[in-house]
Amino acid sequence: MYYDFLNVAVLALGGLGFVYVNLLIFSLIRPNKPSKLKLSTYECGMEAFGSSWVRFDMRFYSVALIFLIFDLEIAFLFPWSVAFRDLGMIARVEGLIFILILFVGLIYVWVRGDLDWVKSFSQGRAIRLGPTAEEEAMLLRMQVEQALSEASALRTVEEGESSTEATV
Amino acid sequence: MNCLSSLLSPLFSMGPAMSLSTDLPLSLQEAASGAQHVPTEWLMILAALLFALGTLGFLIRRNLIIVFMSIELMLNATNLTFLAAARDRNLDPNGQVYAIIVIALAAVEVAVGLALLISLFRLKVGIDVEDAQELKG
Amino acid sequence: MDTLTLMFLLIATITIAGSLITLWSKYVVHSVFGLMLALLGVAGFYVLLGADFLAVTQIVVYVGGVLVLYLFGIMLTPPDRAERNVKLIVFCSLPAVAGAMYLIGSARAMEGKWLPGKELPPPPGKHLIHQVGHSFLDKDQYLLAFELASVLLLVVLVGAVYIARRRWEASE
Repeated sequence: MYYDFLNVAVLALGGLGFVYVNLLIFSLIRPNKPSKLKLSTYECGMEAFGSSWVRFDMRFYSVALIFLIFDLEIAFLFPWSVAFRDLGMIARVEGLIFILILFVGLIYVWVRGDLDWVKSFSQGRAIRLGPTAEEEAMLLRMQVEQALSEASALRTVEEGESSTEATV
Repeated sequence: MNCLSSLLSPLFSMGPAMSLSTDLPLSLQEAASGAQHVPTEWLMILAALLFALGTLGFLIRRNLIIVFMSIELMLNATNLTFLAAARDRNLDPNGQVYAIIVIALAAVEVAVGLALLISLFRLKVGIDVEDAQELKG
Repeated sequence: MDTLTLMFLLIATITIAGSLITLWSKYVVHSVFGLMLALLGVAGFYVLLGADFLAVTQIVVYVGGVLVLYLFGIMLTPPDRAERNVKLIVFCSLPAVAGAMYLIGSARAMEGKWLPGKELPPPPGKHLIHQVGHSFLDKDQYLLAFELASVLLLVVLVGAVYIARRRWEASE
């Protein structure tokens, strides 16, 4: 009955199985001797510090947003493209209006330079890339706060351990 | 054995070539309008459960991103109800029309909401619900 | 237990488990992947309900677009404090009430008299998306919604890109 999607299911199961069966087999075969040095985070030989959370560039969000909008345009245009042959000229005009309205948006983001990945010069003036100085300061403050809270948590843990040792 | 071969046979048989006319495969639709299908009540109950879970997430979490995700869950529950009701009414196309519009609205709501959230973070530090109480920027 | 019931139970388990992960996980990124599970489960229900176009749209729009947007939104905002406000016990009973009201309302709407024609003719030998397209393009049905959707997408495109960009140029 649902054969069309059974193909999808079989392919998905095959893909998942390819990953996890291999992982299972190798976890049975490989030697397992963890040490503290092996399990530590590797960062170019340096000791890792601070939070792994860094500010991303805003352009990633803008590009994903533009992609999403035109993705939705496809969701609306697919039923139109299936049906417009039966309905004559008026349906074509309606679809054309839909596309033209969204084309205005495409022109807007194009002209304002949101589609350019390297925004060195847009509209004849340089636009600053990345976070501003205030945002850098905010980021630094948050990292320091987090490090302080982690340090205090560590201290309480150590105190707890020492107190249990004292009682023993 | 017979069952297995009947399950696997569509994998090895090519369907008719897609012609320029707008003929789309119908097997799924015929299966859904056939006599044997999942009872509509089960789907309704599942949609209500999904809606309740979305409401729960909306109430217990304070991170605004997770609040948005809970709204997504609630909107998906409505979509499921629309389609279950449409199948119950002999595959009414109105159900799919509503579902497409709801999907578009949900995606658009997320796009604007997250953009507002990011600019909120740029003005203040947090993205908790309580951080957005002032109206002055 | 026949195959359909088994498929229903499997997909229902996936959906409910995904939404529970979304609600309870400590990390927001895990919530996003839980949401992905839940949305894929809902796509599976669309397949069971004979709406194959909607299943594909669900996967393309949500998993391909919205979840990527969520991930970028998480990377652009501070980490979660993983707080869950469960102290108020009344909050935990409210979702049950909401779900029950939703169920009653949808059941009443399905047997309601205000919906046109319970006895619709079964669809002819064309794909249902044909009729969906006809409804979208018919001026007596959903043509206004169709064109307004494009206006909505335009407004969101311009507005959200503007909101996301504004602070750069102000701090220039």
